Amino acid sequence: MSSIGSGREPFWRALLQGRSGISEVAAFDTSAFRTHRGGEIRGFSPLPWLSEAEAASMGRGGQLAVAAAGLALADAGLPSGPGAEDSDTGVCIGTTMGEIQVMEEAARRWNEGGLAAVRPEDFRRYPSGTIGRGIAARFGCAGPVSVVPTACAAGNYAIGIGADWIRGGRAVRVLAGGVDPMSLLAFAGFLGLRSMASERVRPFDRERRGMMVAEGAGVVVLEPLEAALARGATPYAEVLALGLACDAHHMTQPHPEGAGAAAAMRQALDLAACDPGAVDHVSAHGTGTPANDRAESAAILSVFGERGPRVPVTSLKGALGHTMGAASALEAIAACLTVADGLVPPTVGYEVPDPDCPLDVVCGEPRPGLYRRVLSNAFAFGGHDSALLLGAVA
Amino acid sequence: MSGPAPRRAWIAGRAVAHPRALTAEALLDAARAPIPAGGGPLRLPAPDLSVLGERGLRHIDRATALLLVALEGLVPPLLAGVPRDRIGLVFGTAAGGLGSIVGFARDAVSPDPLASNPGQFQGTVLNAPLGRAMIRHGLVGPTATFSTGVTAAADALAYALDAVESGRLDHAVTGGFDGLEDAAIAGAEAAGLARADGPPLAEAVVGLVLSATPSPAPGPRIRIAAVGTACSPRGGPGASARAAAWARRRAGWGTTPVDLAVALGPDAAAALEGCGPAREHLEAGMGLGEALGADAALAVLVAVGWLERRGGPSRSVALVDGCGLGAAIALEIA
Repeated sequence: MSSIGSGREPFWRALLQGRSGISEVAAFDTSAFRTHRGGEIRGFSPLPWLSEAEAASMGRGGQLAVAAAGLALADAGLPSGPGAEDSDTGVCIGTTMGEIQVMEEAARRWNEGGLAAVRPEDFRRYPSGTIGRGIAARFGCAGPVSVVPTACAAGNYAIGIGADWIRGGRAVRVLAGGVDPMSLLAFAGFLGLRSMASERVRPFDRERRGMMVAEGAGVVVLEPLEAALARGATPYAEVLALGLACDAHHMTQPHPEGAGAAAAMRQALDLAACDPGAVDHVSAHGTGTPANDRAESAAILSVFGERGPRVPVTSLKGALGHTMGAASALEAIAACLTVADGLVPPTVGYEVPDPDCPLDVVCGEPRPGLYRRVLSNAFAFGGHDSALLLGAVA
Repeated sequence: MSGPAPRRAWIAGRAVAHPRALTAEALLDAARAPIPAGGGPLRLPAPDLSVLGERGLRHIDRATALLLVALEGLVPPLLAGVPRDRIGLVFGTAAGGLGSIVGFARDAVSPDPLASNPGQFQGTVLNAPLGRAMIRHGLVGPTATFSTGVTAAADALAYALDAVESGRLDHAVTGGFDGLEDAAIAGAEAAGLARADGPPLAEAVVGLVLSATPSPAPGPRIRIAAVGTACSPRGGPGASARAAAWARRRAGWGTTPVDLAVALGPDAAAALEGCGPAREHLEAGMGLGEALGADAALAVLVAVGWLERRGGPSRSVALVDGCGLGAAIALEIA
């Protein structure tokens, strides 16, 4: 579920075409701000996936997550209608702010009439746990259900944890991914931090000015290889490892040398016993802020050494904006498709190389190749750094 | 020929801040001493921020303050001789730093959103409390926050257990926390977690150090053997029964009775009914209240108190059930 298309085929086609989903924000009034653009999913209706009553019991985050989970199940060739309880299937969903639109509505009511003016249904719909439970309720998932609010790295966390559940025997199948709806709070917050661009996102470009707030949801179906093959499915990629580290530096600024980012990438490679030389592509966090892209470049060069400037790197945030908790889930989906289809999507907005980011940034056209090992980076507030290593199916 | 012994996760330290108890032993006693239904929320005294010094305390909310103060007793002793990438913080919370979230949201939706303080924005993400803690202690290893409602701390314990047993961490400081801001109280009441005839709401922080080696301190050595979680997709009680069955299998206990089953959460009674054979049941909610994201960690610490008092080889299962979610944590003195 993204601003450039929803469902595997429309999403992937738009990425390969280098389309941008950035447009004037319609979800809220931006007249007080100097920036008016973001990445919204236009025309979304939850009704193909939820009854009106079910949809009304959720926030937009839960609705988007249910839709993404339904699309993932259908793409995997699994039933996506309401089904019987399945204790083998779990749900692991990441988010940055959860049902933040519900919180924003509650905050308006609070400002106008005090705490007593906040509707009980807003309190019921706000907690992040409702997103995971909403997916479980819709698709009958009776295995483990977790919500992992690790901000902009949350999708990576959820996919890595979901894979751990399968390896550890806690679940046979996991719906894993991330979600965040468009947020006025995030808009105001990132503007206050002077992290936002005004017109477009230009990851790793010398003229980059910042990120853009966006919304989205991405969900993958994780299964053991044997189980997928046994039912005739064609897996896209294998989850090899999730590397995690912390900058322990600043709540909102990356370590200037990308220390935590490099540590996360190295940990993923170590856990998978994968030599850096075997990595064919890096799907970057690439927010388009001067500090993040500079730090991530330093981290990539540190991990890959002399080969660093030649590893193909792309960032989807030029096309999608920053979808927060959904970002790394959507990026993992794209990375899986890169492995499966042999194409790296271009970095929308990248035009002028930056000497501070001496990377091989894929731009203009998709780049064909054999991509058997892909690292997908995601970094978050709190210095939470993650790197998901995906591989071709052996 | 046998290979190396599998790594286990021992409880090598703990801290609790609960309105009725500040030790595992006192927590057990409080769990056994119900308080009258219908009372107001159980809140802790204002946290003593002086123990934190002055660094990094701007824009701090109540839940974050409670967590940081509790961690002061747990993390620094681990730092001697252990690389800082081998210590992780893994916690569950239902609402995170809700005070920060509400405060910034109210500013952002006001007629003058530009007047909102950008310094408060960092507190609006649910992992902010742990981010602050990682920075405070200079920890550079894995960290994770879970926010799945009443089973949030069980998710954290499961992740921490796996991280220690797999060798990714030497020490995982794990548990659960939630503060009772006004909005949290109103939210819990709206969600049906504060019934007039049920346990009061309670704020709590529980931290457990899971380590690959047991504490050298004298006393029973307690380990976490397994953590199971499950969901009832249509809501209602009973998910903990499947979680307990899984945890028993994983621990290799089969249907052997455990010595104590202790339960918290809105559907604790159902949890005790469905958890399998146990020699003693303890429904702890009327003694400890409904502690939201800290529930599972509180239940574990009650079990720890019970196992320590009993001594000798013994087993316990700590349960949480509510809001369609269930968890079971298997503990034992081998």
